[in-house]
Amino acid sequence: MRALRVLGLAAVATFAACGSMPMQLPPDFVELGEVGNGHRAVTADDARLRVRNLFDSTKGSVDFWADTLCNDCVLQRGYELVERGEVNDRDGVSGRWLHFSANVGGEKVGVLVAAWVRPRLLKKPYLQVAEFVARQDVFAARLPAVRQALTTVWR
Amino acid sequence: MRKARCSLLGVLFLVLFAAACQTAAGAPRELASLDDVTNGFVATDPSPRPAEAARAYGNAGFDDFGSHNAAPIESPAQPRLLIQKGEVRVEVARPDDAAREFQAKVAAWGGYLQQQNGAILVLRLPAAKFDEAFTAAKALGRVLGESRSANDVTEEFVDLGIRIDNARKSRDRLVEILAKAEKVEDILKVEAELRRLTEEIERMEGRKKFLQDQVAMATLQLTLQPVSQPPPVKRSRQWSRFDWINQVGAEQMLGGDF
Repeated sequence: MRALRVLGLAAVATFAACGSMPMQLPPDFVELGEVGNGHRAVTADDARLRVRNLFDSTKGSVDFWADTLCNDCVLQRGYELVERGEVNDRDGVSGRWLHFSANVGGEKVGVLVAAWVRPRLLKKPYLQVAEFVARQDVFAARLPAVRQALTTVWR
Repeated sequence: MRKARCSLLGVLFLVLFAAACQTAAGAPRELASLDDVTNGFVATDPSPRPAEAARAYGNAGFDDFGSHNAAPIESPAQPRLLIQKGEVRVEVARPDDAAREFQAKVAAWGGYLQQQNGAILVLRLPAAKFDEAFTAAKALGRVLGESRSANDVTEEFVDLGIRIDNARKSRDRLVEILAKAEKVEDILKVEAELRRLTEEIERMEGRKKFLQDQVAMATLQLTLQPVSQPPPVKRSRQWSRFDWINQVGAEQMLGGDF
């Protein structure tokens, strides 16, 4: 009976862990729930935050992926790179972040993408990617809090 | 006897008929009464044949037009009085420069700018230079459209001359009648008719002057359109060879994927 209770609690904990955003949400963000292999959160002024696990057969380093993403955004999509840097997640794993300014549908928006390479035992690593997009003014106001929240990301 | 009477009646009828025809066709119209005098110029044949009209008017009125349009119209081979108008739309690289260049040419030909609305210029220039101007306008750039017309006002012009001439004669006769008139009622009536006639003469002379101006100076409307820039070639996005990169970005976050 006791073993069953422990197993039940473990199952609930696992389920709860799977269903929540793998980061401490910045202020004013409300989690929308899990879609596919990602978690979404929004604010009342439509700032959007998403953390996803993305897979690619290529075994690239975090810098390789940051450069690839940066080139794609700037050269193919017309984004403007504002700033880039490094960020350690909650467990001290080094990731990279890229801050862009973009024009989507005639509206200027800010874009922040952070990525960590997550190794796996006997499997190819995957990428954990956090994205934050909002209208330019909203983005600027919320950027510091989101940058702070990136340090709380866990895998 | 009866047969002879019938023949006599027939001959008489023919003689009377011929006399009537001659009177209708050839008898000159004479203005005898005051009404005939005052209305006579209006009652004159309203559409004289050009040759007749030219004879009646003489060549004096055509001397104002210079050699190009000034010849009398006795012979059909001779030029007529034409109001020439044209419109040219051209695409040019620099409309302002082209407008300046063309205006300078028009000024050299003795013309002038009548109106300008943006890149649309209305120019007046001597009729003799119209063909040259039309060709020069088309040479400014790529021709997008052109049209020209010539309105023949020879008959109207000649008719006006005859009417003015008749009206003046009528006026002279009215003046004579006025000098002889003794009753106040008659004097007032003649004076009223004189006023009306004078106004009519002035109106017709104004119209004649307008036609002279229109014939002497052709009108050319020139529209200068800047060369339209080809639409920028939109570079289509090349998708990344790494699928996860294609799934990241503002387009996805703000679109239906979120």
